Amino acid sequence: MSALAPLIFTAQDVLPAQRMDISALTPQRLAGLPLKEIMTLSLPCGKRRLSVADVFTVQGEDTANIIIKGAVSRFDRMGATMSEGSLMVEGDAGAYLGQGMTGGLITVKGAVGIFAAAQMRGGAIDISGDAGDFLGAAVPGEMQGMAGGQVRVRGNVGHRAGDRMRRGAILIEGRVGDYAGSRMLAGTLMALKGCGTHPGYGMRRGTLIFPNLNAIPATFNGGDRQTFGVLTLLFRSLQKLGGGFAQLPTEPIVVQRYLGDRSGDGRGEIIVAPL
Amino acid sequence: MLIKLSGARVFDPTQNWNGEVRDIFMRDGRMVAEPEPGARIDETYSLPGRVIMAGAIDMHTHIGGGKVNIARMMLPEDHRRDLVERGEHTRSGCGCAAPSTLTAGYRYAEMGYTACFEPAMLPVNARQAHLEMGDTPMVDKGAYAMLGSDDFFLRMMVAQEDQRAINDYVAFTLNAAQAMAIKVVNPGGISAFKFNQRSLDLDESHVHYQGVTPRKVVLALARALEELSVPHPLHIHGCNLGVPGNVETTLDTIAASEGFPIHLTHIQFHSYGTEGPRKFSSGAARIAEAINNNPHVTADVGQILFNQTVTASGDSMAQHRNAHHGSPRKSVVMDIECDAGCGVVPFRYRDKNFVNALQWAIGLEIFLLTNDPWRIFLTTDHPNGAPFTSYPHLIRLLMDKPFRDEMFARIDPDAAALSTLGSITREYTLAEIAIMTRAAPARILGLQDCGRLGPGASADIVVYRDDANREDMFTKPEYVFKGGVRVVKDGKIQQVTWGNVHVVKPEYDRAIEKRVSAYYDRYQTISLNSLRVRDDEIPLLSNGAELRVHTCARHRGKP
Repeated sequence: MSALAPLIFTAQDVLPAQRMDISALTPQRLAGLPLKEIMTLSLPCGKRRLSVADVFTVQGEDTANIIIKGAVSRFDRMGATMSEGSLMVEGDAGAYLGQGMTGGLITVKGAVGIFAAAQMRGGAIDISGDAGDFLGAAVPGEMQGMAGGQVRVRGNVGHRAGDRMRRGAILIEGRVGDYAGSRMLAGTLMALKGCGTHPGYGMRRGTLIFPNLNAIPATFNGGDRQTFGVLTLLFRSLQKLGGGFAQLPTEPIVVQRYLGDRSGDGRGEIIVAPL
Repeated sequence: MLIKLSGARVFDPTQNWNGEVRDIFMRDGRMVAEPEPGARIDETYSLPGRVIMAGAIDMHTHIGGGKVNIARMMLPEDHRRDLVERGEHTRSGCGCAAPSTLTAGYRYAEMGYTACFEPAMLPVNARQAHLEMGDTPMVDKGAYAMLGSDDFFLRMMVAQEDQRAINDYVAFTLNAAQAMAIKVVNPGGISAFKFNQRSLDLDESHVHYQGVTPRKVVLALARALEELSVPHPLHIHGCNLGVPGNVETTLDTIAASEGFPIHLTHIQFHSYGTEGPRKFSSGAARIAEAINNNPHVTADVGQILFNQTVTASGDSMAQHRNAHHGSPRKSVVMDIECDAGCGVVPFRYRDKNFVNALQWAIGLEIFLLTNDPWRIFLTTDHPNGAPFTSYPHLIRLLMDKPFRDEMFARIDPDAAALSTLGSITREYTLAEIAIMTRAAPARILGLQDCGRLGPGASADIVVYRDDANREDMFTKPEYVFKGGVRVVKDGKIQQVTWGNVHVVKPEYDRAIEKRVSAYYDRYQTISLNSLRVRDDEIPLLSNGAELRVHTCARHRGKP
């Protein structure tokens, strides 16, 4: 473990009214910069640019271990394109948290806005509160959403989670909104407390796991009761996450599997399992 | 105000100035002859070691019209990856392959371009195209109206109407759309596509408009423009774009013009043979020979360069064929107002891909094997072959044989083995670049005051540092003057101007309007009066731009 004190950015009490892009504050972009230079980094804020010193008080030195404190829910793109180290947000985060990140760990103590983990490629995100719409999705125009890594949400998640997702895992302890896994290409999305309407809308491949379904989507087939060895392995590996995942069954269980979306490629699956 | 540019090597082929050191003068936005000794010179630029040319002209670049907007909408990632912040004089923008109008204008000027021509304006979209071009700052603009797949014209062809009626319709279209020329895209083929024909050869009949073939369409339009004395000949995007073996079609198209002047656009995409192990080979030598031997033919190349771009074309037939090659894999292929089509397919040209590598080599072969720089033009068919920002790279490829060899060594070896590019030693000179990017486009478009530096011309002047690396040289001119105003310094915008709108207005028998109007009332979504872009609208649509009407007096006659 590093003996250095973590680098702590504490947001000032009075913050600009506009949203702010603080993607500059990631371990790899701050690595090797002296504190003086960090204070002068410019951050886009609305149509202006502000310096770090305008917005934060900074203490500590370990750029591989960053903590952001304060009422920062208007701060967007935290940890975007992050590739290493640790970023902790002690509070709520704005939109596009961890967009395109490739490695490292982002921990959020509060809730996050829309498009968290959008086009994430690797690493891990742990969100204690709720997440907004389009978690792990593709931002408009992109053909693939999240394509690697793991996102864990302890609260509930908005609509369109995993839209165009390509790889990786989205693990939700609460409930996920409508159109979960829409246009999904591959990967795994699991919500322990169920989902809204139209799960797997337009999905090509990939796996959605829920404890129940309000209604079986009209374009999904199957529903036979069967057991899958792989689920036992998956659940065992997830137990180490603790929280709600500690209660996952570790013995083979009987599940129902629906295949779809038959209006598209139709090789995806929704697994309804007694979680 | 009299300004003197002193001590630079000046290239203006129209004045026979081939790089001799001389002083040039401008007053109130126009070039002037050397004043009497003792005249008061208000400002002097001492420019030893610099190269001066007229402002460059891009005679085929998709900067307006519906399809560019579709490309913009379809490719937000292109915009996200290339954000341009507002500057002291410039507004913010974005985009590389399909840049925003403002960014496109600034970037053109920063490269020394002072005039750009949008080659595919559908008459029914004319107002929108003019609005979009009007929002493109810095450069002069003009557009070519698209005909040849529209119902009204094809009905005329079926009825075998008199050439005079066709001439009237063509002239009416040029006037109504405020256009500079006429372009035909896949003659009749865009329409045929909608009748489920997936290809239309030069002598193949349209299934619905029986007896109408691309050959007849080309001939009727080329003849109309000649008889109307429109300066720019028919701008032809031929049949079978991108199809191996289309070199035969292109040679046949030249024959089909029957001696009427024609301009073959992005000819690289129409110069493919079917030889070799993969049934795809270069037809560049035959095409270049045909251009050399047919003085009534001009062409622009449509060079491809390796990078991400987006192909945007009115040729919905070809774009439908290519849609599955899209990268990223998305596309739009659509009809426009039942009179034309549109296809937008993003594309990434790769140097290790056999086909792309050979396309690259074919384009360069055409440039280098065509003898007369007055009849071959430097284009990438922006954004179809590459974004216009790669022109300096292309100029270096043409002017620098060792650099070209270095790039040639990197392409797919199977493609390189099929290309003669390595054995071509020609290097373009600065004088030839000045011809093909300035004087020749001005001549072929009939622009009376652009592309030259002689007295009376518009003072559109570019001052380059004479850098041995031609890419650097042409990327960042030291000064650019537009209409006598210094708009760029050291490759950065200093002042924003809005350019003029160039049009032609050939005379015609107004009786045709009654027929077209009745047709529009019956079949079209708007009335003819709404379609027509009036003269007094142009300044409103185009940020105060002036209308520059070019005369249709020059009668070339058949060679």
